[in-house]
Amino acid sequence: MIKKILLATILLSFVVLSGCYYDKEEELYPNSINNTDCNAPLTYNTGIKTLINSNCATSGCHAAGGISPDLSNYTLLKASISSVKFRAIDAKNMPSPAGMSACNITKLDNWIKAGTPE
Amino acid sequence: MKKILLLSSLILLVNMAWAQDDLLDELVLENKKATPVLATFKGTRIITGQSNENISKKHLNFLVLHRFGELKDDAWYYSLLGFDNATVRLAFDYGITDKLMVGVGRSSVLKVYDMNIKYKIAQQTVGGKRNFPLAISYYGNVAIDTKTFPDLTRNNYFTSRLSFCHQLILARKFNDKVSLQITPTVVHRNLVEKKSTPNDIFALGLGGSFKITRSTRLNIEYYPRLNGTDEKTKSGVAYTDYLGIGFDIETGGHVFQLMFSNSTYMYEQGFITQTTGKWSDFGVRLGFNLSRTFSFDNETKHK
Repeated sequence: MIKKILLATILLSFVVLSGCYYDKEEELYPNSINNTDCNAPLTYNTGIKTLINSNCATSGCHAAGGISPDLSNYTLLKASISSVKFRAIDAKNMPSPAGMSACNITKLDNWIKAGTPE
Repeated sequence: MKKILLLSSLILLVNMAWAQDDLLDELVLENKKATPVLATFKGTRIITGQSNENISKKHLNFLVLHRFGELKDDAWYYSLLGFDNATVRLAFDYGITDKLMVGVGRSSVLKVYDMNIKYKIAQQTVGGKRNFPLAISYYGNVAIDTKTFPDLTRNNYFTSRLSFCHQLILARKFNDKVSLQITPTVVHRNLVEKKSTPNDIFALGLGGSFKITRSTRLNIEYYPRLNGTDEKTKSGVAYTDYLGIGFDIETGGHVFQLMFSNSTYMYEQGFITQTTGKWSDFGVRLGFNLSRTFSFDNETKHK
């Protein structure tokens, strides 16, 4: 009897959890996609710092005490800029596994092409 | 004289063996009951995808799955064949009955928790007058992506984190050397990026296992998607179909699975719909599955 109740509970929980939605980010958040100018010239302090800190130098990743290379400040980022370019812009597999948004890639690429201004 | 004695006793022995064979045959013929076919595949997974196999009643299976980084990422010696970028999934599977199995797991990629259920609907049978030709199982799971939402200023919903997978597993063991499987699959994502992206992705999994030696088998697994094949990642990389080639190595009590595949994901939603590696481009990863079974069944406990 207990077994049957357990069985029924497990099966039921799957049915309940199968709350299906058909949402699309473009429809759900019409304003948040492509609302920033991806091509605006940036310096480290006016945007790249935020981009790196939210995508790469997050806690446990490429920050102090995390995985090498540490990208948490301008000097360190500049020292590893070739591998950052390779993984985030060329190979597009960092942050693992699928890379950043196309807009962030453009921002970072433009910044590197402009000579990584501080 | 001695030689003759030896020869005649040998003939007698052979004759006896023949006679015994005949008796055995008669026994089998008399007892024409269909028995289930066992060990279609060595593990509960062919490679990354599910096989028709369950673990036995009251047994707990502890799984450690690893996928390394892509071989093309660095020179092979620099990150040791991708070892430095390894991802992991830890999972527990439990057999409630011999036919029903439930499991939970946690993947390091995208911080995903998953819960799954596998039920044996029918078993392939052999030796009877009427044999059932296929093993049929249902597998379903729900995955919860617990990564921080990319944009915290917008109105985020918990349901956006959920995705589901349903599979009908059709497997057949042809003989000791060859087992094949067809796995019609549907994956549902509650939230996708573009209007044109379908929330439901259909795929037709194909899998096979081929015996090489007594304790090793070669496994192949391919999950071509049937729709939504033009989907891309946010960074603009096209998703590819999952293909894995691996080996089962059995070492008393453990099954060790070693494989090359193009996906970093170890749950269905991930490897079917979000694989980005290309075999043609060396976007291949080394990986392995380790499993250890613990018995909680006091009646059939061996040790």
